[in-house]
Amino acid sequence: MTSSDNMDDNLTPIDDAIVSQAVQWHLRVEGGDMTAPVWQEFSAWLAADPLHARAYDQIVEADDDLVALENSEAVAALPVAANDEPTSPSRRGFLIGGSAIAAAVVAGILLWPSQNELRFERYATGPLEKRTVDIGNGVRIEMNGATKIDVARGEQAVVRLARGEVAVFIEKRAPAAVRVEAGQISLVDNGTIFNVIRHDGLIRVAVSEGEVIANPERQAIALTAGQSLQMREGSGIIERGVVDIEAVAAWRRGQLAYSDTPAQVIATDIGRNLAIPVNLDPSMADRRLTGVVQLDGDEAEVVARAASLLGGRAQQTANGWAITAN
Amino acid sequence: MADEDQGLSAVFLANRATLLRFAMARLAGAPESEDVIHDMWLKVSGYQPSGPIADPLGYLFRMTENVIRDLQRSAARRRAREAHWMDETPGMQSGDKNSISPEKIAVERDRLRRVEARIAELPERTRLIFRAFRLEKRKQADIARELGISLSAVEKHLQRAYKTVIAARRDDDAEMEVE
Repeated sequence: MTSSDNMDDNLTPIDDAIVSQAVQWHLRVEGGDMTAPVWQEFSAWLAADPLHARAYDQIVEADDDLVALENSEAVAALPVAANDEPTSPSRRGFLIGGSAIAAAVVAGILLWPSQNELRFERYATGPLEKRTVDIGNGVRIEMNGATKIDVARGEQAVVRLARGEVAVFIEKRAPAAVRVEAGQISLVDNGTIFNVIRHDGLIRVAVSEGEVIANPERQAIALTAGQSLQMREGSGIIERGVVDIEAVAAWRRGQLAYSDTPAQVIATDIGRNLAIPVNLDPSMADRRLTGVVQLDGDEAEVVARAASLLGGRAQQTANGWAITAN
Repeated sequence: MADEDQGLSAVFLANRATLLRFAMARLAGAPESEDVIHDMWLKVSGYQPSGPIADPLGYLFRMTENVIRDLQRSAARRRAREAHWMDETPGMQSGDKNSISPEKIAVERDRLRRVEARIAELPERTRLIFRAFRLEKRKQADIARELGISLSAVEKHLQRAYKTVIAARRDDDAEMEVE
């Protein structure tokens, strides 16, 4: 290892072999299934040479750039794809805010290749629109509003949830008829009905019948009826939970059903279903709800209903609604 | 719920030294390591997981990594503000995220545009894999299976892509230095 000249920390290129190792570690960390012993190994690698930590920092910063570029792309798509792009109220700090404005300028430059070896067809729903897609093999996908999926039909159909919410119904009992991918979570059925939400950086899976295997090649987490999992995207942390079977995919009946659910999740759900930002007063963040929110009626009624169940009230804001404490 | 909560706290306390060692290695010995661990304790003692955690120590490592990244990002934002102090209202709070001046946006936009242009020069397959892994957050094994290539081939593409971004950032810093 060469000793580094601290005067020029950012300008001196780090030895390529070290950068390669740092990228490798980054891939493992972002891959999301590092176990404690592997973290220990990572810790030992970092401690072995200060250059290792510096190389790793560079990768993380480079990665932040990519996330910023991703967001600028997403925001740029808003005015054009009016049919399926809901406005996202989330802004994650300075870099994102800046790049959001940059979007209009940069979006045209980088043409990411879009074709894949599997042949995917895209389906999208607009806000409040619902749609059923029969993908063959006894598999039916019901899409909630503001949802985007890519579907490759075949022996094992692949459904990639880019955003939104789907309920998956598998009629036949043959296992592995479909593979649903939502970011770092892959789900393979074992004859089942389950619901997947990918929204605002959170992936949530709930099973109402049969069994689903999450990430079969790795953690292989079996979820049976009444079980759920969630993962904050990029955190790599999968949390298990339980869910009321009746509540899974209740959105299809125009209801949102909850059991001991944090108020923030409910506000986000209402916003997603109404396709309008619904912000929650931070002082209410600790509140939880067990119950059902009916989605019928106009926007004001729905938000007011949710607010009163949470012990607050609904207030119209410049761009949507706020649920505030009484 | 309370039991699991205490469980995570207990695992934290039992492994405090291990996590501190990680934070110190990760921050190359910077004194903020102790702050990171303190911050972790606040998070862990008030944390309510929605279900059992399979690998609590792995979970705590990941939480530590997240705390360190937040710390580094806010430090980077602070540096950016100080570098452009003329754009700022005096006495502004460091947590203010709405404090972006048009000049800073333009600088940041140009920088990101240069990074993007460099990515655009990569071979199509490299870009496809990079996009699938990082932007669509898909797993390397899934990408390899879909493209019918080996896991190590996927990694090679990702290596190349990350190194391209790092080189673009370094060139940018070098330019700034000249200016």
